[in-house]
Amino acid sequence: MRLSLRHPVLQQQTRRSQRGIGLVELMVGITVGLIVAAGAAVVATRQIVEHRRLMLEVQMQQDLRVAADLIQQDLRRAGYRGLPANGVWEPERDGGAVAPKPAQASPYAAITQSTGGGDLFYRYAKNAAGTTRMNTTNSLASNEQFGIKVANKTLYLQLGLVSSLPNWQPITDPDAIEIVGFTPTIVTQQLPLDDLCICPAGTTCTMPTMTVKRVTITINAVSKSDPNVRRTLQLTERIRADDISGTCP
Amino acid sequence: MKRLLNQQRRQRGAATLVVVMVLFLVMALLAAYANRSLMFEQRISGSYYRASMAQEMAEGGIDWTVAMLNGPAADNSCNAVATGGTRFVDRYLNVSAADRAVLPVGSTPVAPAVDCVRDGSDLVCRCAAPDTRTAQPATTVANSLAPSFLVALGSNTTVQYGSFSVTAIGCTDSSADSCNRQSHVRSESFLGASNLDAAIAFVAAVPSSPATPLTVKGALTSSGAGGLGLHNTDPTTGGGLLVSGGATAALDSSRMDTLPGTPPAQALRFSDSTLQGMDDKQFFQTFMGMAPARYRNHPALRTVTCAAGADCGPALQAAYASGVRILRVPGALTIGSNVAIGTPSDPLLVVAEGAVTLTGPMQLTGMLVALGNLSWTNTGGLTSVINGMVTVQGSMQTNGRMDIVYQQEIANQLRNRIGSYVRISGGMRDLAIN
Repeated sequence: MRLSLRHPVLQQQTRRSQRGIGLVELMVGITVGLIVAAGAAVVATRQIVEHRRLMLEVQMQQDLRVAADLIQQDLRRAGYRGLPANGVWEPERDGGAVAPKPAQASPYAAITQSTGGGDLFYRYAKNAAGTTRMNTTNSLASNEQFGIKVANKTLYLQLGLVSSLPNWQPITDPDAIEIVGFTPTIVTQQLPLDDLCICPAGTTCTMPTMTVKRVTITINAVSKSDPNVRRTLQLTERIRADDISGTCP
Repeated sequence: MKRLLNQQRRQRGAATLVVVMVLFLVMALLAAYANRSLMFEQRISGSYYRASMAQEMAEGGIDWTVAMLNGPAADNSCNAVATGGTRFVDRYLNVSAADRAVLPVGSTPVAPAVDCVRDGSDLVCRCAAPDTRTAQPATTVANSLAPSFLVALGSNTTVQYGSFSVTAIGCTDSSADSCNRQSHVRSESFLGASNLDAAIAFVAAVPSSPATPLTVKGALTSSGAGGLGLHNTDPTTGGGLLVSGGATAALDSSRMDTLPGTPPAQALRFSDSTLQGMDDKQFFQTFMGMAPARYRNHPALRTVTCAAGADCGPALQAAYASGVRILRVPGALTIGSNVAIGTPSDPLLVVAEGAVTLTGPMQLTGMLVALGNLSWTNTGGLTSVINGMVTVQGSMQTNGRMDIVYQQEIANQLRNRIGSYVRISGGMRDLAIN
């Protein structure tokens, strides 16, 4: 091949083929190329930044949505009493051999807030620890106490008691979002049950009341990496266990 | 060779084009990548949409079931029928009139009995006889989901008295049976499913029925041939015949039936101080468990309006035939036709808020609660009888021959089987499907 390259005809042809790349042509080409490349780079950078921001927002939205969903599903369970039949009066049976069974109060219906209104606590019946059998004893077990709180800008869900201490589990990622506000509000409504009791004439009676509860929770969150990304989430849930206080005279 | 040279010359300066093309390619890839996450986001929203739709369907299923339990008789499509239907509650549940024990009519463990699908505008339901339900057929709705639910009624394990559970599976598919499967099967076919269990309690129509065939808070006057006959030979009630707050009325003792060996006069109680001390509301509450204003909210109660003075018998009969067992008549109630309404095993409760006028022969089985006065005339030879109990808040006047026959069976039915069904507070939970 080297020999053939030295062939005068071939050498002449190679030189001729490289001829004609004018300086002006080259400069114009480079300039136009650079302008287009610069424009493209700008667009691409913007795309990447925008995309990153979008991802952050999506991640935050996702995290918040999951947390809110967990809270909402759990609040819907609040007040479940294991054997709801315990709340129902049963008539006598077998010709009076079995006495009527009065309705029992529920230890699960309570929903409370810590002093100052920060944390929210509720209860519902679950399978007894380590078994698949529902706790139907109508007495509160340690794995049936739940709560929601914010500590260190993280949302926590309480999953029962472990060694009689609350078992708090984080439900948001503190590296991704910071919870800057958490406001649970319990709205209660008292309904008189006078119509269901007889107050003997001439006496003053304290009639029972039913308390209907609604919980509204507002969560404010900021993205850890971009303080401009803020989200506020509000959820409202009617607690499906009403409190009945007092008895008929 | 010459051809090759020409080609090389033509390609000169193409570097720019290549660079730009590569950059565009990179940008296109980036855009596609961004869209990929958008697609992902959209898929998440879709899953949430399906999950909440399934949950709403399951909730709706339970509410629908409670409404049906309190509703009139229905056919196999769960639509109300005027005559010949079976009440939804009787179709699926056996409620004991003796002790309120609730057992499913079908076999245990309880299988889903009812299903409904939303066909775009309406709920299309199937109320098959117990244990005969077949897989729900598919329904297609253009550009939309047709969600459905399945309901099983009755408790599996221990017998409950006065309560039972209703389990509903909500599904985003038009056949809820496709959701009643293992979770991986559901997620492979993008189905949202939710399983809820609600405890339902019984609220009696007459929680503490009177132990006498007739209770009159005001005065009772009886006149005419034949006279008023009161009958109660049930030993558990002591054979009482009448409690009245009014003065002693002249009643024909040969028309009284009480426990053998007990003089009829002892089974009649006039000027009862307890009744005299009660106000109207208390009188009603004593037997019905709540004040009249609240009683109107009994979920199974239906109102029958009758024109003043017009015969209300056929209207009551039609209401009873359609499956209603608790009837409220807001104004005056007049029965002037020879109707026979109710049976001892399926009695009727009539709450008449105005004056009651009964004329001529007729037969009512159940309980008549008159919040006003009761006037009862039967001067012909045919029988005019109420099997069950009558309470009158005002005064009562009879003319001619009529009978009130107390039957313990009717009191038991009204106390333990006829009534409304409501959700129990604290009785709702979500369950895993399979």
